[in-house]
Amino acid sequence: MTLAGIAHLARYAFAGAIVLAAVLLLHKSLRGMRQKMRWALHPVHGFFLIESDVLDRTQARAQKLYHTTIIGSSRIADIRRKERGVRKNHAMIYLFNGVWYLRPLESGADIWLNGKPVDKDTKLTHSDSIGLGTARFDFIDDRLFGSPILAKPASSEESPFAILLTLALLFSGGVLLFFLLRGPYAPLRPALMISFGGFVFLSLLWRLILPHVIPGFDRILYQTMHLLAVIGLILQARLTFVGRVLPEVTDKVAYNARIDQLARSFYVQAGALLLGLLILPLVIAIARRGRLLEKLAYAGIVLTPLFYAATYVLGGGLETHGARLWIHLPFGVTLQLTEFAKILFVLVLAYVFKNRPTAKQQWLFALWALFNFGLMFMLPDLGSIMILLPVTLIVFAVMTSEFLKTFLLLVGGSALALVAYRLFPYVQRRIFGWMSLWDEINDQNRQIVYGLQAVARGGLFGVGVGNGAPGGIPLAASDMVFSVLAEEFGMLVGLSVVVLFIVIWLRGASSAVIARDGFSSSFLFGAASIFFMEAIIVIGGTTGLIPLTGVTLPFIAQGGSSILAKVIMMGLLLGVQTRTEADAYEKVQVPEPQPLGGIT
Amino acid sequence: MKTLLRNVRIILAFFLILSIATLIGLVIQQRRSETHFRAVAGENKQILRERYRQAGKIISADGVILADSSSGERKYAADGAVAEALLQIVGDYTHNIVNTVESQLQGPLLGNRDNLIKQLELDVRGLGFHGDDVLLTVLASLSKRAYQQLGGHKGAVVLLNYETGDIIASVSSPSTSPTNVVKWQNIPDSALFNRALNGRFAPGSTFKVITAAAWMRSPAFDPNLEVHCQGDVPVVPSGAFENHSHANHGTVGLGEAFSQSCNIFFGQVGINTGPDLLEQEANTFGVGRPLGLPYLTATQSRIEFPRNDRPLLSWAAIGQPAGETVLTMSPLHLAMIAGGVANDGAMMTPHIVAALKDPLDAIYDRRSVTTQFKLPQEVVRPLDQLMSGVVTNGTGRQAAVRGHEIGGKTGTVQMTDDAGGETIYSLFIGYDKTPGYPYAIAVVVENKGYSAAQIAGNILANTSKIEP
Ligand SMILES: [Zn+2]
Repeated sequence: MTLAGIAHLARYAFAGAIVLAAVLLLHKSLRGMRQKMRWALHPVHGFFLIESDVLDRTQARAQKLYHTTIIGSSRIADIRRKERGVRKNHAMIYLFNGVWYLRPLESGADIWLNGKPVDKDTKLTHSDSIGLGTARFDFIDDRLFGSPILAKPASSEESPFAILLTLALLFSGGVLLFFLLRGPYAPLRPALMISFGGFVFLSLLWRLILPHVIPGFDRILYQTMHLLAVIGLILQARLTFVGRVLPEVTDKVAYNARIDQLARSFYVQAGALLLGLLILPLVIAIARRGRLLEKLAYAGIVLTPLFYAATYVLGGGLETHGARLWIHLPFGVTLQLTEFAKILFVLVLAYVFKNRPTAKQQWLFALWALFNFGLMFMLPDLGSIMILLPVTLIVFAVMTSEFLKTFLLLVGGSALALVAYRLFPYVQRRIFGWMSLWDEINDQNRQIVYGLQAVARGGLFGVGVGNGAPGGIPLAASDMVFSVLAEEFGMLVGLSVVVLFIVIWLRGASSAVIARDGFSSSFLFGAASIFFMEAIIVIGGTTGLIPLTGVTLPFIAQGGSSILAKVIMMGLLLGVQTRTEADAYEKVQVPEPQPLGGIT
Repeated sequence: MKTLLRNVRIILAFFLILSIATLIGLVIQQRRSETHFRAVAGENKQILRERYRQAGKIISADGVILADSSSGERKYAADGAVAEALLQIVGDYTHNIVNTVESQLQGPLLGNRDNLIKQLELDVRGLGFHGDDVLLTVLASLSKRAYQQLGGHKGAVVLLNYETGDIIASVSSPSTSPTNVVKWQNIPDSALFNRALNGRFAPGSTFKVITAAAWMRSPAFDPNLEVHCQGDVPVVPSGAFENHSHANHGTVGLGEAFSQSCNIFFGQVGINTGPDLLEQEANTFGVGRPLGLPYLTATQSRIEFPRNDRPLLSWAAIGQPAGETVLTMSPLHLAMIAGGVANDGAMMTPHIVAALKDPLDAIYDRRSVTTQFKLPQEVVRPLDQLMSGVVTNGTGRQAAVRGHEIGGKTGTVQMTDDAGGETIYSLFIGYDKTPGYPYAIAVVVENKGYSAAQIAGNILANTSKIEP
């Protein structure tokens, strides 16, 4: 049996392992989502409101508080009072930087704090009396009466079988690649083994240590990243090494130079992944430390546009879809700052929307975002726009409930897109290439057609690692990597990769629901949505479902900056998820417990 | 908090819809690509070269290997003349020629199989990555002879077994070597065009077969009709006359007019029959209908006759479209018509792929023998008699083969060729009714001292007996 035959047989195992692992992870994360949705209705511990307008104080009910609590007559208000003068969304009590605030939600709504009218965000302290219309509440900080019992989040699920499948995939893929590197390719084997070995060591080490050191560590999310990284590593090793043209072995100088070059280019890819993994615990630690990330978000307000501007001025190098996004640094290092700018953008987004921002804040943010989108357009980095715009809208809609406004923004965005279409020839070319995909082959869609031919050749199970023909697809390793994946691993694996990105989103969204502060909530939403949107847009683009933009498939596509940025983002996601209720509040001096008259 | 949960549910629903749409979209795009992008002009040559390194063989009915990758490179027929003769049928792995076995049967040749169990069996044996072989109905030897008969002039020959529909030879000239096609060098003008399957020729006098049939079945039919032919005097003012032969046939009846190919007689017959019945009869013979050739594309013949213009109609009836008239036919279709007359009215579905063979030597997708068009019984015998007359004592005597019962019809037509110049083509359609020799033929060749009937005779004289 030839190696090609073995690869052809192994594809069943690969497809089976990846599909099964993806399904297991999806199952766990869907269940987790349901549990957390239910758990989310658990209130904050240590704080509550007491209805003080009840004549008989023993009958007074305690009202639970959430990090964002809406009081009003609306059906979906968290505290619903139907007294005269209480508006639908009357007021909001929210936790901000560890301090509770009261905010009127509708202009003209009648709100009192300790007898004084309230017309802006006002800090709450223990035993403050709040009046809404004819309803009265007292704000109670129960921590003054002893450490509250903090509810533990639902225990993190895991799927040991999925780990086994991932490791089996990594091992068999590595062995297959090892044997594919025969004859003149044999000198490439060390690069393969060192990279794979390093990855196995680090990824397993963290998998064993982190859940014990960090309570609440999301093993499902980590495993999902692990599996995607394994697929990416095998695919990139194959693309870098297998079937590449080598000079004759007898031409020692040229041959050695070529081997060195190939090995180096794989070391960059694997190295970025390993570097990301290496600093993963650090990133998680930063993300766990309550305020630190929010301070970073401050910096992001300035740094995000700066990154785009820097790319515009210094950018150059390889052209993907008309965009030059690489910045060349000394020592041959190239950096794609736009990948890191996305992280900062999400941090700013989360910071702004952590509690319903006022109209003025929203306007300021809109201006800032518009400025950034403008810069992206100038680059042009349409990919970033197509990812960040929907993510912004999603976070905006979830955190503010302004679905009408979101819709209007969407319409406005479409109008802007039309303007862009008229103004920028490169947008027109892109759209034309996409529209003419099934009619003719032209310079604008050749890449997608070649990609789709590869997708078609792959069928359900693929043709086996090393058996495909990625050689002729432009940018096969980066922009078009999904086509190679579909050709060599098959459509089943292609669909599983989409499922894995759904899993990432579900994990992020379900922790966003139980997060105890607005910043965590909106950040988890934003970051998880970025992964998802990025995957959908690049997969849809390479398969002709939507126009193609130069976006990279997270964890799988070639590009050191991309993969490093994505691991860092994943670290932030993993870290913010583990923030506990205790991290959310400003520390208070808890006095010695002492018996109090009346309340025992 | 309830608000947040509600919002999350909305976004969750939105994302789930988006995900499901993406998943379904991916499957659709894959399915669509499988059929749509099988072979497209300007395809990626580098990918194709890589892909065809494992492709299966293409083998002729007489066992000649027409394409083979066992050396690790795609190679074509070792005999250069065979390779040239079958170039437009076999094709090239770079897909510079479209509508070929290499491009249209890319899937099986490259081993893309729909049967997953079969694929698994092959994979377990280590053969899963090998492509399937394609077995053709064509004979390499006869194709080579047919191609050489054309002498490098523009033209085409289709020889088929009229009992089974198997295409025995299908050649198009000029041609060139597959190496030239792959390297895209020294390619003669129009050499990549398959005239046999996709040529659009005016049928000329070979169309009189259909005109005769239409007339015989029309109310206007008069078995004793006689027309006085004065050669260059048109049947009606500016109507058909003996524009090629300039012969003065005198007073002729149907038999004489058919064997001598009298334009005046058939011009009159066409006028008597009328455009509706002519078009209707042509339709019965398969004009304007798909020819049913599996895998490859065979161009449909087209007809559109003038309604109120007797001169134009008289030209149309003798197969010479002028003015608004549309009348084009492919050599394959012409051969099928001759075959239908010989085969008792049954025009069999043509085949060029006999079967496919997987790496375990199991034969599958064997071609089935079916009737594509059925000719009316009442015209089959008379047409057979008329066509026999053409070869025994008419314009087609050159097609006669000693000891064989050959029938046929000649034609000559002036056409604008691809280069825009006027070219005169000589046509012949015919059949062999000798038991064991169920062959029908169509020859179209540039009339430069070449007679299509002569070429047909030379080819029919070299066919071999098929034992029942
Ligand atoms: Zn005459």
